[in-house]
Amino acid sequence: MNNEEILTNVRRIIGEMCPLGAREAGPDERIMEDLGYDSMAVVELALVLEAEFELEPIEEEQAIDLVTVRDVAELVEHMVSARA
Amino acid sequence: MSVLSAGTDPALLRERWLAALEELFPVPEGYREEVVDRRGALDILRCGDGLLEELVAAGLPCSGPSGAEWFDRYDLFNLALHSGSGASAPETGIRFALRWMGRDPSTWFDERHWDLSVALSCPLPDGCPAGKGDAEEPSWRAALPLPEAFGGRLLELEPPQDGQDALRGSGPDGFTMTARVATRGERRELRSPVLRDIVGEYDRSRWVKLPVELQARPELVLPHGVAPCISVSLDLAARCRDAGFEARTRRGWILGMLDLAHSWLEVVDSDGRVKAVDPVFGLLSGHADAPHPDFRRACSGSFFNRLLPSSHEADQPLFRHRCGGAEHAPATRTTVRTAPREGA
Repeated sequence: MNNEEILTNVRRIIGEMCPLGAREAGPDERIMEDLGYDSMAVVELALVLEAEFELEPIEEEQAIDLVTVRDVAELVEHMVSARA
Repeated sequence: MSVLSAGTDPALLRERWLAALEELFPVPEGYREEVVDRRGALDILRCGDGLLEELVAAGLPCSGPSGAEWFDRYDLFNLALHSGSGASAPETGIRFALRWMGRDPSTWFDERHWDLSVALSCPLPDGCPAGKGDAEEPSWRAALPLPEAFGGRLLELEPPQDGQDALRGSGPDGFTMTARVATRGERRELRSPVLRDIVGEYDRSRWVKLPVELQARPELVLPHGVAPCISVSLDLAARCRDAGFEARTRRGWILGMLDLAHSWLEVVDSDGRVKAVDPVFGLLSGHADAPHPDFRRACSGSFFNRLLPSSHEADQPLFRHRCGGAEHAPATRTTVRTAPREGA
């Protein structure tokens, strides 16, 4: 899966899980401030990303630094490439 | 949605929930606030409507008519945490937040830099009462972050401390404290057998969350086999002092995703060194997926880099707000991020 596909899939997942209701999630939208995620929702998101992309466990310190949808995609890209 | 609930036998799940309910220490009258509706309860428990119905029928405390009940949020959190369902919000959140407890012990003690921001707002439905001629100016107080207590450093603080024992602000628009801190830990062990015996007495208790005012009355809480951090810290301090040891309690923050305030004991051991004694952290590790086998032992003496000490004792609130002639616990929004290292 290339980076563009990862971004597309991450946007889809974040949009589907959006606490404000399913919607299109733009790459520069902030997951907490713009999309209504709270810390529990971010935890859920991290667990879904791990399952969806078959990632190693995401560290809490990685998760707390996720601000935008693009940050999430870049973390997944990093973890996918580290796995390869 | 949970990725953890799939595949568990429904009969086993039901059995676990009902067993957890039997062990629940419900928040007593006078401290209860039944303000969570059925939908909110299901968001926390994630057990499904039918099972919630069964839990209510089996005695889960609530008020209101059938099908439109109101619950206490601490009851729901504690029931869910000890349900063994694997899917409730408290189990999922705590398990994720405690992953670090399974890492190599060196990672519990190395230097880490963090940005902490806490925004306080008035909890009243309409905010602070509108200012009138003689109305009291709304005021805010926040405990000072004190990473130095564990060997760390306060790198930046806003608003500045101004030599006072707390950060203060005024006005109806809320108050925000931001801090950049370097935290450090250090592995230490209790030497005194007397202290070790005292600390060991909490090993069979269960960690729960309870209202702060109730936790400040350990005699109402600890006999029920539950061990919230403030109650344990106060009880430990009294026992250690009775045994002749110099001791103080400390309130602080667990740095991470979840907005978790925490309390522990600091005691001068028989070797003259200050040790942080935190049996509740050890109990918490029981909710982590695979805590390191050394973790619980490290809780008897060590300083952890995930804890940010404050200037306050265990039973002093981290934040206070006063308006309209009354004191209120302010609503808080806490954000923690890792911070770049100086020169990096």
